Amino acid sequence: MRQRLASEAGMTLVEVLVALVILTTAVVGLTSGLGTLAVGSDRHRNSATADTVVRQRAEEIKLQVRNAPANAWCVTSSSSVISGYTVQVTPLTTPSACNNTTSSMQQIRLTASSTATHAGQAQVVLTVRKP
Amino acid sequence: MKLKIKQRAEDERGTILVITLAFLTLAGLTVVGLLNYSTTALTATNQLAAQRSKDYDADGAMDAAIAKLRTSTTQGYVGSCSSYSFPSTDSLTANNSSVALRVDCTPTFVPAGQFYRDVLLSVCPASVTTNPCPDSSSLVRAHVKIYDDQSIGRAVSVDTWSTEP
Repeated sequence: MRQRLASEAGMTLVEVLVALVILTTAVVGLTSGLGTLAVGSDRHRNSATADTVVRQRAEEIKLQVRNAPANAWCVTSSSSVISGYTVQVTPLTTPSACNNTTSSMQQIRLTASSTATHAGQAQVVLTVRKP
Repeated sequence: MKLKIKQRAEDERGTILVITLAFLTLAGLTVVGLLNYSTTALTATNQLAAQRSKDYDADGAMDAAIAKLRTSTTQGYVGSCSSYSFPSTDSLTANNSSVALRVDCTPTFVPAGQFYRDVLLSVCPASVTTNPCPDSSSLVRAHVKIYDDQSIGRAVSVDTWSTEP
């Protein structure tokens, strides 16, 4: 009987050791997974913010063009900073007649990007016309 | 006493392994839940960006069609108002190049002696074949007047601008 009890006591120790190995492996895996999740979340937040910033700038440009005089409505290249994001405005087309009364349209690409560690970027192509 | 110790030892054999496995299952489920939540948020952001692209393309198509109509001297009259294809007609760039758009033009009769064109423009996915675009498929509609009196420099008046219902 003593032998059996001694044997069973040893089994419990082995179980504890096995459990510890499994738990350690799992905790290391979970910590790594949570780290990846945090990086992904950060990247996602930056990307979503970039999306909002690029839309804000796009609406500003639309309003600016709508209220511009008929002889100076074309959008030129520019760069501005909004809430930590750099918004680059790049004309895709250059109308032949921005300075006279001939009707025309223009396309502009807006790109918002952050310099954060897990940078987010968003862009939109905007079509505007002479007011 | 010895019998009780033996029974307890037998009862508890394997318990810690079960507890470990239960813990791992719980932790696994938690991580799966978190990943699902993260995936849902990511999908929502992508859908929002796709919707934004669609909106900007629809607005852009409408503005391009108005600009095109404005320069034309033959379009915008009853019997003469062609559809405008976006972005292909003027080789423009679309946010979502996989969805081509068409702007249908429905002119209104203007009495002789009036120097303006009166049109109802409707942005429609090119896949919709009905012309003019039915209400249910229309992305943007605008009621536009183009004043051809050169003394005021061919002005455009956008009387209404409405997005999809």
